[in-house]
Amino acid sequence: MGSRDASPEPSWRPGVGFILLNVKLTGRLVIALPDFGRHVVLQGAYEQRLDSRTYYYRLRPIGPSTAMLLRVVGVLREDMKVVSVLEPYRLPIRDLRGDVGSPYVVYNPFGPCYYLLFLGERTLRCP
Amino acid sequence: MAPIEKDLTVDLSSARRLVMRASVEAPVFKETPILVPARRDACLSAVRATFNAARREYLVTLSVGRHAYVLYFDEGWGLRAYREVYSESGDHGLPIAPIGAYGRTRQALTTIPRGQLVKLGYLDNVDSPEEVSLVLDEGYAFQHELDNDVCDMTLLPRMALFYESDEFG
Repeated sequence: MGSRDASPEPSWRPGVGFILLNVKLTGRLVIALPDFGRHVVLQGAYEQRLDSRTYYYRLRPIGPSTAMLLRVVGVLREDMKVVSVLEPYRLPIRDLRGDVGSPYVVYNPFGPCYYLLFLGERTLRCP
Repeated sequence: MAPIEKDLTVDLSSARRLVMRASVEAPVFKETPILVPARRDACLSAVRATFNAARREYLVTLSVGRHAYVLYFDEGWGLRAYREVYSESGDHGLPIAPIGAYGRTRQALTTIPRGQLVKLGYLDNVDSPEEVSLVLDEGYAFQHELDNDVCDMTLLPRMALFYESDEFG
């Protein structure tokens, strides 16, 4: 999921928000995140260890060309829904609003729950 | 930080601020450490994290300007400690990957940029906020362009033990 014009959400503006692909493959989860105007797709996988019930989460950042390849190959299907999860300029908490992205997902196996880490701070344009 | 629900939506109403920064060096407020980026042109950059299941705490790394930090949060995202491990970096973040399965359990692989080259190193004593330190090897892992790049480095650990002796003739 790398092309900007594929988002069905009219409120989503390229380069400002993150998008999270609502994808339920078999045990797989694909997250697409535009970062500084360039799309970064993080592909993660639930993997279950044999010896215990702990899960770990592995993120693999891939670029837009690989995302296009995934689209062609069929990992990213056309019917997958693109959901805008947050836009740094429109966060409900005022202190967190900003223009810095850099998202990451961390997993707590005891929760079990995922957390999205992101930076929201109004700064100058960074290279 | 914001939790992700099971349907992959992000619960923004319970988002919390973990770290803030100030223009002057200030003491640590409760649960929000103030990092030290004195200059305004440096931004909070590239937060990365992992969960230490043995101690049940989050290890969050963050680079601010030239400084790279490791922060320790408990399961409720309360700050336990934080420590600056590097101060000569670019503003690129500090990804870490624990290598407990393949090496010493207290080490975590990391990469840190120097110019356009990305060095490969490890964080020693990563589970201890008092003793954590960054050990950099001489080599470089890869080189990135001037653009905003994402590099995925997959390491295939192979442990070999060579034994040689002339005792048996």
